[in-house]
Amino acid sequence: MTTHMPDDAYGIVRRLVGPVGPELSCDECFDLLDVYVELEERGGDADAAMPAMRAHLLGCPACRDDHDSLRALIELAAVGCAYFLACHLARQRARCRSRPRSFATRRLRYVRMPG
Amino acid sequence: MRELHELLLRAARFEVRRRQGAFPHVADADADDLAWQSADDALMSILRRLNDFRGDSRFTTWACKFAIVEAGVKVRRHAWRGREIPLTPASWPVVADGAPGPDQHAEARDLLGALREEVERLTARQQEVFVAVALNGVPIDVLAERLCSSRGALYKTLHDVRRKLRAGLVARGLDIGEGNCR
Repeated sequence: MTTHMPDDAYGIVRRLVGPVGPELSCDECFDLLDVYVELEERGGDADAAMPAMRAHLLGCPACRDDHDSLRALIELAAVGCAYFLACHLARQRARCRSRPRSFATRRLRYVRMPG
Repeated sequence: MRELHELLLRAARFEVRRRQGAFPHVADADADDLAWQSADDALMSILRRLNDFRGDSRFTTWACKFAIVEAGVKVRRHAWRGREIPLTPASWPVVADGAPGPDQHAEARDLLGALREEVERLTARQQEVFVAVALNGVPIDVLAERLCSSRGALYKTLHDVRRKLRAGLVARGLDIGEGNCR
């Protein structure tokens, strides 16, 4: 048995009886999940675009877990891409510093040599 | 096909590791096995539903959602294997004794009491679903497996129950406002 302070009672009952208004089914939620998550990722107003989706995510813990995981994965992938790019550029810069003569310079010298 | 499977395996491993935080008793060896199974099943689902991809999102996002959902379901079911599903309201919320303000205390007690009475008016099946999922926090796909039902069908039951409970509370003059499960 869980005890709560009186202030919590309305919050608990609201949580138990779930969201108000139209909401999607679990299958419809699955079908639209990728589109919704990418809208969120781009900073678009995903809730305005799909209000029934938000209501379902509030009411269905399993679909909410799936949503949170897919979003986290996409964000991680975006961070991973940015990190990979930064590392790649840093490696290129380091390579340039360690080799004062660029490929073009060496090529030019090679071309001049026979003459 | 191999690259797609690798992508799905990465997504499934990510999801399994995330869920291991909530279910720490899922061993690492089981976790990797669950990730492989999830990636295999996700690949089969993708091949079956390839025509459903309309290009509204990136293909990788669309594909990863299959792996995420498969892995989430498998980890929850694995974590609950052998555990009894609590279908009785063992953790029914009550107002703490000695709470400040006798009026507030009485109002809160009446609200929770009214909800409990409304729940008792539900059918046996509706009570089982509401108590297990909403009150006792049993994952809906775990309950679906035990009751030989589907996640969608159980959520429909839960949705109808919630509408009924809300209507019952409103009929008693108790307006609880907008619902929020977060």
